[in-house]
Amino acid sequence: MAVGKAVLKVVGGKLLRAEVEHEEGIIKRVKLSGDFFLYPEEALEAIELDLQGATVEQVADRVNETAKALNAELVGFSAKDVQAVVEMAVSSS
Amino acid sequence: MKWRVIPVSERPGALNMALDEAVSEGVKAGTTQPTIRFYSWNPSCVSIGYFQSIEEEVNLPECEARGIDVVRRITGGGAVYHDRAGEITYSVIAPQEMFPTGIIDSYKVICGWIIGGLAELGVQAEFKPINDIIADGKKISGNAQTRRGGVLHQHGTVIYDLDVTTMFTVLRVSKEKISDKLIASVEERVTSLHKVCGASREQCYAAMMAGFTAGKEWSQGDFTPTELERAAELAKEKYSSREWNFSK
Repeated sequence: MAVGKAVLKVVGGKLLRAEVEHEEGIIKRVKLSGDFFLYPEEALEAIELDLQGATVEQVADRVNETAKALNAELVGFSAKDVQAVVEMAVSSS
Repeated sequence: MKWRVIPVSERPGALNMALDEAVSEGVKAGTTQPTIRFYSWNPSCVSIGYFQSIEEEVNLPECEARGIDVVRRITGGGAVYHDRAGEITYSVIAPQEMFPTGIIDSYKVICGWIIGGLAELGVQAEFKPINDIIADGKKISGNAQTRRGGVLHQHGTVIYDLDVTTMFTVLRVSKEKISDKLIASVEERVTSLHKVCGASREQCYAAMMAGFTAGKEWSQGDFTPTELERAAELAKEKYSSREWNFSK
């Protein structure tokens, strides 16, 4: 099991931090933090949970699916930015 | 709908955040009028956004040494150093249907009240999405909004005076980085009412009051005993707790 951390400042948006535990290309746990906005706020826990078991390439789609299911709105970042910061975190470890 | 406007008072950070939540609960229950309140922070306080990690963002030993509180907000956004004398903070808490559905559109409405207040002081300012107001191309106000249970709650600060050195000591920037260069670059990005118009804090507060109340049916009010009681409970049980403040 490896753990990586990364920070991404979204151009024209907010700052995203990711801490990712992963093993053999599979995400085991993700912790996202930063100065972004997300409505409703509780959707972040579901997004983090739904990323467990995903590959890095699946992150954006999973974030979009969870957000859609919860009618959540991401402000200051996008699902693609989450994938980018997760990818950076995995690469760093 | 008639607004209740609560004049400025200073309180610790946990109690300030708790009062906002107590008022939100009342608005949700239909027992409280839409409310605008002004406040400041005593002692000075760092607030962090809902999604931020306190340990990543805040130099906790420095805060403790300087007697500066730290509290996590119910709203997203970034870490803010609330200097006791350095800013005017507001909260707007009202049924969501009183505002546009779009997040940015609703920011724009409330930020428009601030811009109106700044105009009273002769300061020309504009809304800069997502959540800032700029004057002279520099940030003069930061704002954060949440919507829960049909209630829109936005709070924000108008910077009156800026203590860059303290700000960058308590926000988590390593000591080596508090160089003249960094401070100069922050001063290039952020400004204050004192700098742009030289008005007194009282004049700035009066202008904000004018900006927030213009065109509204309103009356001056205060927190109800129920709100104060609930806020005291929330300040103790939630906003002072390690579980809440260290949850990310």
